[in-house]
Amino acid sequence: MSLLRVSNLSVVFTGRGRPPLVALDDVSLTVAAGETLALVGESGSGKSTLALAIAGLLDTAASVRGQIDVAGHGIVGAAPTALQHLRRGGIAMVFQDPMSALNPVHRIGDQIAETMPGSRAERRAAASRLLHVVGLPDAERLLEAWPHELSGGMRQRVALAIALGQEPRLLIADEPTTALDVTIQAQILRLLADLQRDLGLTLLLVTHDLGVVAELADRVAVLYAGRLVEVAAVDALFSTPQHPYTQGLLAARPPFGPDAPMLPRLTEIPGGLPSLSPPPPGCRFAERCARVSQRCREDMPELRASSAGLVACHHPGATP
Amino acid sequence: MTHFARRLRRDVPALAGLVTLVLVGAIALAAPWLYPGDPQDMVARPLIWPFQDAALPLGTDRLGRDLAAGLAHGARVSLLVGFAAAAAAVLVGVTVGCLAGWFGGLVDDSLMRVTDAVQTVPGFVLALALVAVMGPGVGTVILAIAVSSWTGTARVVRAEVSSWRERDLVAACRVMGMGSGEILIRQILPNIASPVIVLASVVVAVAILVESALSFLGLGDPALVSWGSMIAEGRGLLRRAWFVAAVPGVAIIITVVSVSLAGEAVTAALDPRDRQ
Repeated sequence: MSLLRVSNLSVVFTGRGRPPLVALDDVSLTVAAGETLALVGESGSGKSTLALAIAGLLDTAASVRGQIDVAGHGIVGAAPTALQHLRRGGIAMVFQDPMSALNPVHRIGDQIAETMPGSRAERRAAASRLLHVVGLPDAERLLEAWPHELSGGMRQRVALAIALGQEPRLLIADEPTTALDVTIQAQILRLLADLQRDLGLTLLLVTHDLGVVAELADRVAVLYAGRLVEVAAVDALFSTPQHPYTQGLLAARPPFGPDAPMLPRLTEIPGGLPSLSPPPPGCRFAERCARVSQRCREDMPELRASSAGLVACHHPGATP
Repeated sequence: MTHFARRLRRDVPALAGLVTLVLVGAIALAAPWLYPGDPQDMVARPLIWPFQDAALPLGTDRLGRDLAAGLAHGARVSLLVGFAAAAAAVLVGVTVGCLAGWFGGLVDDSLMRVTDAVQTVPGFVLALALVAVMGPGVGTVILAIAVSSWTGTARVVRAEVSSWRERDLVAACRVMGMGSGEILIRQILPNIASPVIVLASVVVAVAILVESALSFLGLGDPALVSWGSMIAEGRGLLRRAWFVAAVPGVAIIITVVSVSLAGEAVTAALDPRDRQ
């Protein structure tokens, strides 16, 4: 049973005096209840736009076509009041920078309890319980604390507590560890994994960090220039990537381990993202791809079943 | 409240400002009991210098009116006009700024062009014109000052709101199911209270000055004593009895300065980063 279903989603940003920018083009994916799907791509690939679209947070400058269903409720085109209703108890979101997601003039306890039902004492007890859930001891003191008194990792835990306070079924985490120290990153990732398991959350993890993906995800969706290029189970994606872009991403990771070779220079994917206003007619990766053929430049590849999952490429397969 | 007191103890100028303002306010409130009767009544011979007569500590003016009584009653007008005009101006400014900053686009453009238009007219000239058209009176003076001084607040609030609108906090609140009004009033406004209060204290100070200036020009409420009209009264006597103009002048300076200092004290008290 899929909790999240995105079908043929296109998002175009139109601004005054600027050509329209196609941020997402015909994206379809499903996430099963209790599953963790990682959304991977470089900056500008549209992964955050997709996360915002699912949360119903795109502003009026974006024209959205296609369908997004969360637990059977349509998000695209829903009235603001319907969206508000849907969000309480449905979708919650954790952001990259926990300082900018917390309100500096409200106490931690008030921010967690803010949207909860019940009396003041009940909400306070619930807030204190949530702080324990996200691994923050000494809840009584923290409820009275201000955001600026906490460390980055604690703030992100508080942001998680606020999100969990809505008892969401779908948690969207938009680069939740990018702004944190490496040691804190590991703690937050472990916490996310524990919460996901204990609470049966469905997790949509937006990241560009493949280490995070390997740690947490069940399945991975790779976005490139607004289109899905590959969707596969995490093991399959890491062992037998089919799309040349995915292969490039994996090859670009620095080697790590006791017998890892010292590279004079890290591997990179040559070139940069194509312009998206308007996007090129054929495969968007064509200009950077070693396997490019005439067909790639003219005919856009659709997502098709491959040996490992789904891939959008005319010449898929293992690295030659 | 305890952190506020502790902070004030360290910040002597703010404390002095707050105490002075409270004192001036108390004198204004108590004026009818401190100096019963009309402050425009003649009580002694004219032009007694200050500190000569224990019953008339600040002396008398050209017509033998008690300057201390005039000062106390004038404080009522100055503070009433100052605070009422500032409250009206800040209310309008915050509303306009919030709408423009939050909704952006056409709403922003049209509201800001109106703001531009009002701002191009010098504030005092606008107030002068309004009072000249509508006739003198406390209500008119308040309205005139409010109309000419909401623009600064509107601009600052618009800039702050449109910057807060883009932060993750707003997206987070939306995901939590809050509506625009709730986010604006409960989440964003408390964060921009500091600059608004500082601005408000400036508007109060300017309003007191504008009221004095209008009264000095004879455009204040003719039925009431105000500090401005007292200065106007002393204008012709500067060579012989400068104290008649100086006494209300010093009162204006002290009040305006204390309003500014008190504004800073309140701002600091509201900032959680200062609550250690």
